[in-house]
Amino acid sequence: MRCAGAAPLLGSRPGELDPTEEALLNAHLSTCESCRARQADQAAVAGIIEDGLLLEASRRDFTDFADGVMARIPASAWRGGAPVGGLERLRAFLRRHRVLAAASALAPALAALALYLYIGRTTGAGPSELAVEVTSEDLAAVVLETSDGPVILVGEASDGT
Amino acid sequence: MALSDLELVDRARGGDPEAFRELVVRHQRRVYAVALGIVKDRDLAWDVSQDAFVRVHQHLAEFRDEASFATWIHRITSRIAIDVLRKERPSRRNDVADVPEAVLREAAPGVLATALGTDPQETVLRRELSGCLADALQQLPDVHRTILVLREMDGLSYEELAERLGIPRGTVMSRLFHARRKMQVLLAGYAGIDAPGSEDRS
Amino acid sequence: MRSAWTAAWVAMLLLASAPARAADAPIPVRIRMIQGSRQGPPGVPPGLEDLKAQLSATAYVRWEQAGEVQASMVARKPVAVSIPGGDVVTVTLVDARAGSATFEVSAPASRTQSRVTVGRGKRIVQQVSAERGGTAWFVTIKAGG
Repeated sequence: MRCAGAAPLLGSRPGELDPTEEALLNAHLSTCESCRARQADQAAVAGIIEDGLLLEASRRDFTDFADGVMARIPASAWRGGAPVGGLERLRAFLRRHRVLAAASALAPALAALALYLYIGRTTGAGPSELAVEVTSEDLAAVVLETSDGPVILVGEASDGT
Repeated sequence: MALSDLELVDRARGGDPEAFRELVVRHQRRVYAVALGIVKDRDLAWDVSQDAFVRVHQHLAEFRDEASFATWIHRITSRIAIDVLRKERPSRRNDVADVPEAVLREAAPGVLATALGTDPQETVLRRELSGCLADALQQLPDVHRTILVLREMDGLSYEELAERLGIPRGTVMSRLFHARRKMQVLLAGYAGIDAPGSEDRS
Repeated sequence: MRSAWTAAWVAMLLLASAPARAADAPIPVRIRMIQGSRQGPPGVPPGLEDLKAQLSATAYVRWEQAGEVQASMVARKPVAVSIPGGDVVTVTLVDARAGSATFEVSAPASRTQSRVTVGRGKRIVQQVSAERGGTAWFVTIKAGG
């Protein structure tokens, strides 16, 4: 097998290659440093796709999203009447308006790196169940769990936190 | 105690709007990420994402509890996104089998991987590149961008991709290789790394 | 026949006006605006004694309270609190269940948004301004009831 034949086999997951392909690929990789390096490059690119897209999603203001969805579902679908009425939309607008008004007073950052930090949900019946989702531009977020509850700190990304 | 997705689906099926709203809020960003990866345009991705949730609601009764809600809605999202993409431009056939030898002649294979590091705790470079990723992704041709997003966001296997896209498994595999290679060139450009195979065309 | 109809109408009215679930019933929430400082004699004023466990986890040693809001919060209705210096922090109750409550805190001054679920007896201590001159602002949020 030559490099050209090995290339499409890179980036496969366990079980996706049949035994012949697997054997040929491993044989080739054991002798070809270029292809091993290529394999690493492929994995690096694959890994960053998800990160990058989720980062992009975290930059966007989703305040109105759910309202928008709920508004497109007919009220008759729910038991108990329409959850999204004029009042709800007004509230959503006020909520975003307040944030926007405050944000417009900020000096724009030259290179805003949005850092999305998600601390996983602890499932189970413990009383200290905690889920924290923090989205911040420019700053790194750290969550400290204490017996009384979480402490959320934000700091310069280069702080070494 | 927070309810699981399946419990929320159950309640939403029973007509509870707050349960459905909670499902939306939980999954909205990831759904948007999938849509954005495929349709490129942010506003379009927003619409596609909302469409996905509306469609999910219409089909709540059909949702089977063995599957995960997340998987279900991501598949719906990518389907809608691909449909939208197809409507915008007609699809071109783009069969690639073996990778041409010329494509593999790069200056320094492995440089990008080394620079990014394999440690999930990101290096500064990796964080920066993540920030540019969406833009870089936009520069890929539709077929390459789509297959990358389906693979890396939806987690589809070669078989599933072949079925979904209506192409042979071999084409799936080489197309993925080409797509990643192109991303590699783009990302190396952003990072100022000696770009491998920058003469790479098609 | 007539009384049965009346009873049915009354029952419907009661159902329509009563909050359907915990999220619709207002819950009492105490929000405090406090400032932490790296400098100065270490200490916590009497009013903040109950925060000691959480505050001592930070690098700030001296604390002061600037204000407090006791709000009766309803889901998705934001409460704005002011931090000295002009910044406005918005706290929104997203969800309240028997054992826990979920809050969204939006602090544009630190370009931060968070969404935190805590058990009912627990308190969120969230930094809402980037540290400047060795001091930083925090809000504390605790749902009662």
